[in-house]
Amino acid sequence: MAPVAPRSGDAIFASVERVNSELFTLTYGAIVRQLLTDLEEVDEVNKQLDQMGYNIGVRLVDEFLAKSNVSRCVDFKETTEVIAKVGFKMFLGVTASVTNWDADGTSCSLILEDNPLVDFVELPDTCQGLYYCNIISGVIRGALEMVSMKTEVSWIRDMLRGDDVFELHVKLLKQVPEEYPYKDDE
Amino acid sequence: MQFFGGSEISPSPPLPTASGNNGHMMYVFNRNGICLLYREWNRPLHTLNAQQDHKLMFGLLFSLKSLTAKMDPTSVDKGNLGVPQLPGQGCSFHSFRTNTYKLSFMESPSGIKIILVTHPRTGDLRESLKYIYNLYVEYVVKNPLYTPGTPIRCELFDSTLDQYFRSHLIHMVELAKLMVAHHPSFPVTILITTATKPDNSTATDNQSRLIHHSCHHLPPPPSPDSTL
Amino acid sequence: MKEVLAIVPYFVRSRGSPYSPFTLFRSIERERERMVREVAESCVESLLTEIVSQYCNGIYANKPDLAARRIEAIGYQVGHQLSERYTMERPRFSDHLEAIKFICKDFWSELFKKQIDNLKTNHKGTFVLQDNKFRWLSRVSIAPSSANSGSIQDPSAMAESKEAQATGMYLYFPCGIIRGALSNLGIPCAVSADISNLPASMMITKKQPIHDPTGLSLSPPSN
Repeated sequence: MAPVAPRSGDAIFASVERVNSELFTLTYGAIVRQLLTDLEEVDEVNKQLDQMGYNIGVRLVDEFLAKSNVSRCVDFKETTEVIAKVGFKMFLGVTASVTNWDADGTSCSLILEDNPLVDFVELPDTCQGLYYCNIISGVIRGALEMVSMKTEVSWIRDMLRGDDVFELHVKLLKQVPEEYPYKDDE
Repeated sequence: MQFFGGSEISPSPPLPTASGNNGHMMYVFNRNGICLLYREWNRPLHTLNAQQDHKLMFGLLFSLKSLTAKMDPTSVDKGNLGVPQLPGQGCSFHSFRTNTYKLSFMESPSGIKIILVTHPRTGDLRESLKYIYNLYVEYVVKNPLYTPGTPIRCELFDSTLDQYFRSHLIHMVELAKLMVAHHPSFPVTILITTATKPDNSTATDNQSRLIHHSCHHLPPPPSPDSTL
Repeated sequence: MKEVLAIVPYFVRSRGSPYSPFTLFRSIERERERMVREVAESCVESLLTEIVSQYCNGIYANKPDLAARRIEAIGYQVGHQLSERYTMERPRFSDHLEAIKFICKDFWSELFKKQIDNLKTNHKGTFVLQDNKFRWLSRVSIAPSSANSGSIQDPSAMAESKEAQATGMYLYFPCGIIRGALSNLGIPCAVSADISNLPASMMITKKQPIHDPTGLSLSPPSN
């Protein structure tokens, strides 16, 4: 039996359970607000959001793999394309695009023009330095680590700071193959 | 079984077994070698303790993956044996069969390995393994009380898995009914061995009634191995 | 709760909110452009799982009461804003029962695609809202009870209550949502939850005077 072809992002999004994005946007906004109150420092909140994103990514990757029938992505280029077209679509309902590849194919930019997290959101001046969508960078980092790719993800452009799109820089640090986990041979 | 809200996973693929629940064991490992789940239904011989057994199974698969990649005649890039592989490298094996059992294997790109050890005449279990992976995602990964990387102790997952392994009988019987309805002259025999009698499961009554009522008893088959 | 809202301004501008009345028309237009935008339910569930985990195991580890209050506060803000949006085109509710019914039917349907299954009241200000299969807890599953483990009852009972406590934490969020929604409709109250019959969850709403908006205990309904 030949393996099934991977499903498109639209098909998967149509088949998963969906909710009104308002609930999502408002929940995330309330979370960020509460974290700012509790942690007070903007940098701490950025770190917390990234950590939360990482934990979410570690779980989300299995759901992504199970529903999308994606077989192993051979290289980093293919992986980022799949994240942009299928991953973002099946969870957030929007697609991203991948550009700005460097010469050896280890770093690129993910461009997001439409982002449900920031619907109706405006940052007040007291939150300079806050990466509101930092949870997304954590999710990508966590998910990629579960498929053996250690990456560094950072924001280049942020619509809440006046830019025209969201741009994430994703850099592949190294690929970590599976090692035999047992130390002693009993 | 509907919990994917209309995705193409439901209805669940029937386990293409010859007769009854001939599953012997099931393992689920994660990428770090931790055995997340071990189930056994029919395993008369235990040679090692549980921990050694899990290590052996994991080690066996790990080596097999390396070996199969090394022996791949179509691959241009031959890595050295023993060098750990990157995701996407190497071919992926999905089963091996001996005279006494068949081992079916599925590995997700995230390192979750699902292994089913069954009767040697079992058909291709790739769809079933994928279905089990989906069950894992729905009931284990999405369970807020579960910590990734720890052994699975989720009652919902266990009961759904049990239901899946037992439910293929219903599929078979329904298929038989359908065939008899459309082609009354078509001979259909369902063989039910004693091993399938659910002994201590909870959802038994419906199933046993269904089996006994809807069997169309016809002359005994020519050989003990005949199926639908 | 009031001081939290004063210090940190709203990020998400609500239509008709007392904090930002001048964005009313702009928001309505944008709303019409993006009528029904959806995301996968996994996103919301993941956020909830993660925020509970962060508060219970990280920020306020060993202080479950404080963690519970924060989770409830997040829910409160969400409920407040959501109920504003969902009642935009409606006239004000004639009485408290009408408001509670709105929560049980329309509001619950928007959030969870089903209505509250059972509503009880003692006619003295306490309402019990019962959802027989609460969506966000539908995958919560504890370890199968090991009746033949041979160990004494206490460890398994303790483990169960630890899991019960963890499950209870997740319910602070929807309790907060209900409290926020009702408070936006002019009904200050306290909301607590009962999970003794999972997957059914009961949210108990008690009308409260304004200066005492607490009530975060998890206790069985007193009937």
